Amino acid sequence: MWQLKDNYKHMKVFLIDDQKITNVLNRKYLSMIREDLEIFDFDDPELAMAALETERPELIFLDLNMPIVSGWDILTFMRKRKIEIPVIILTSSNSLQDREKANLFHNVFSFQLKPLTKNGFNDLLQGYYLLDDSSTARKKTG
Amino acid sequence: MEVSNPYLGYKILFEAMVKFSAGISAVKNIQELPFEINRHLKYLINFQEFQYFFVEDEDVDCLQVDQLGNARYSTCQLPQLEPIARQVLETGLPLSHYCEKSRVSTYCWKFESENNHFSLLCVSSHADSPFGDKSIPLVKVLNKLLSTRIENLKMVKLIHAQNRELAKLTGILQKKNAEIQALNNQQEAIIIEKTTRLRDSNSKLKTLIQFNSHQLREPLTRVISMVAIKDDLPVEEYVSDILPLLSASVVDLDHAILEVVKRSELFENEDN
Repeated sequence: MWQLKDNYKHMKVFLIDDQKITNVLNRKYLSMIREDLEIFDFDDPELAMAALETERPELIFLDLNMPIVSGWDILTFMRKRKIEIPVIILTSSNSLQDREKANLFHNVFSFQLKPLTKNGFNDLLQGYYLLDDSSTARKKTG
Repeated sequence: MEVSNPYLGYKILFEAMVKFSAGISAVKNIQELPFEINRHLKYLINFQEFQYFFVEDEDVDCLQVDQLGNARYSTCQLPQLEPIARQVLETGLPLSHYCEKSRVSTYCWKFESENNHFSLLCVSSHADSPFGDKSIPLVKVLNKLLSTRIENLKMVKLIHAQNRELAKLTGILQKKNAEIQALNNQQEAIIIEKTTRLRDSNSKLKTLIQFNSHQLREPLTRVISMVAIKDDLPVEEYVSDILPLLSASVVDLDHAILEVVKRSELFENEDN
């Protein structure tokens, strides 16, 4: 566990996964690591897309394989709207094609295979804090 | 044919010869030749009966015309020729024969062509209107005209026959080509169909693999997560919040397995 930085207090985090259960579990893990996170979870990606511009979260955990609107659709939407928020992809499919495709989105700083446990979330948040503020998602981990 | 004025005589003879030559040149087949000879011969020589035999190997073409205007074309074999004709053919010497009773003289000549065939020319005439000695040079000319024309007509006939044969062969060849083309097209169609089926099958297989991997892993990862979180949560919280979700995820996993098996079977059936 690391020392909290003042400027990251009350950090807004989006969890986007069509599986409600996954969102519940991820929320629990994140809350265990940090109590001050403001977590929004969406099992409807369309609602998440709408909230992106109004809520402006600082970090997004994104599932790829979702019906109707996929994780790729959300990434494309963000690129079009120039919404530069760091994204961690959380997927259950270990496809090389998906990894290569994810590299094309420069705000994706990590590609993670489910399931992610407490240690995994801890490492990811640490990695997030190491990101340089000026070039938000250029430096990638994971 | 007797004309008192020799100049007039030659003039008539010349014109008759021109007409004879033009006439037989215009004839399209050998069967019509005797009719054309019949039209002009009476202006050239005195005859009761005129016979022309064109001999090629054992086959003989017979052209016959008589004073009464009968004209006839026939074919026969060498042995069927009259004795006098056969004799002339064998010896090569011209023959003449006079029958006291009928007062008919018969003359026969043999001519040899450069192209390995012979011709016989026989003229018979009645004593009242005899075949004159002066007409003998004409016989040579008549033979030359007739044999050249017959040879020419036979050649044309041969060419036509060969053309027909060639056309027939071309037809057969075209038919065979069409058959080969059809076979090729059939083979190509089969290959295209097989390739398409294989591609389709590959694409379906790829989709199936992706589906299997995701469909199975997704609920499984949830179960793994829920098992892993056990040690991090107070027992009460785990029992109230997580345990109900765990059974739902296990049911999802079971459904996913059933769906994967169903899809795999469906794919197997489609592919066969």
